[in-house]
Amino acid sequence: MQVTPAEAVRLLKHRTAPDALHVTGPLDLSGAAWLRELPLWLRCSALILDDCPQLSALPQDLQCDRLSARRTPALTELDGRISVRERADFSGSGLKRVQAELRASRLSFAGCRALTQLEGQISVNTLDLSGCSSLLHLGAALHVIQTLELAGTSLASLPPGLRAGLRWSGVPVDARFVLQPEALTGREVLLTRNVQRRRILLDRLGVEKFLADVGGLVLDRDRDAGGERQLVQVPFEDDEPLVAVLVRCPSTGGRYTLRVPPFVRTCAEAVAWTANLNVTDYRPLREA
Amino acid sequence: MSQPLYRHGDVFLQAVQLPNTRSLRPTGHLTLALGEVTGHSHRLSAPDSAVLYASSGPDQYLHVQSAQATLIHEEHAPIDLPQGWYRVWQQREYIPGSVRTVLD
Repeated sequence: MQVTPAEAVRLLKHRTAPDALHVTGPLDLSGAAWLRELPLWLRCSALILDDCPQLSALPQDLQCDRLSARRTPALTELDGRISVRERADFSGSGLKRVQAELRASRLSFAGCRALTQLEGQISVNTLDLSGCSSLLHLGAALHVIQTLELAGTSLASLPPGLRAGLRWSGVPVDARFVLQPEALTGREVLLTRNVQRRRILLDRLGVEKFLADVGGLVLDRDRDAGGERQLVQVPFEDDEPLVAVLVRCPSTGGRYTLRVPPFVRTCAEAVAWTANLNVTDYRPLREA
Repeated sequence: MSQPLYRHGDVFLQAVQLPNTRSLRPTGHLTLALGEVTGHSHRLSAPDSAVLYASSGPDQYLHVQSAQATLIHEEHAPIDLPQGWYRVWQQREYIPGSVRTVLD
């Protein structure tokens, strides 16, 4: 059955849409609070399903040019066969399990923090998994031709046959960077000349371990409820210096480190900045 | 003189005058912040002692309705909060080009 986009919306809203619906243009259903599912064998140019709070399933067989199902919290599983000519975007959705035959030029699961399983015949040019913090392994049949973005993931392994270029916030990285951040060192950060690469290395290593490895120039020291505080600086070639405040928690005694802007010059200024207050306004009555 | 300020780990609370309640909506819980890694939380110990509101911005507002409410966490010493309204916000840290919120 061939229908216009407006007719398709009307049929879907009244739950009278037949299977094999062929829509003659882009089908924009973004924000449709009433939408729970779509008919089988749906065909359209663009399918926009952003912010549909109750959408819990896509058709078992779906073909379109563009698919966007961002911020769809009830969409927890993807299966069946999905073929998208250009971009398929599931960023910020509630996906937990993907077991689908999925083809797209560009595919994004960015920010799908509940995603734990990515299996099935997935074949794409580029794949964005940034922020998929619960995902530990990728399916063996994953086929990524160009780039795989992995910032904010905690993967324990990569499929042996994967040939895609790995990216972390857009910067090319190797498998060791992704899988073994504990093997990175502060010295590596200092020896990295490219500014973007140095920044992501530092982010991956963590300011605390970096300072433990390389030390730093102490700009200021004083005491608060937790004990001694230090403000330290490490200069970088061609980039702003790292300035961080090292404090001790008054309850646990544990040390922690927070990076602050490079213009900060005292511990008091630094801690006030972390609270988004002026140094004169930061006078805690009680800290724990 | 500024209003009393409290720090509970990476969460700050500051006593405020009655905020514009039209822009607030009750959250239905009393968890001020939840640690993503540990699952530990900054929360009030007694369910009927207060109401927590979300605002249109990043801040939350806490209305302590009983004479006193106790803020607790698995790793931090408790803090007693007197009756009144509080603005609640998270500690931040700097990364070049942006600022991110700390979640312990």
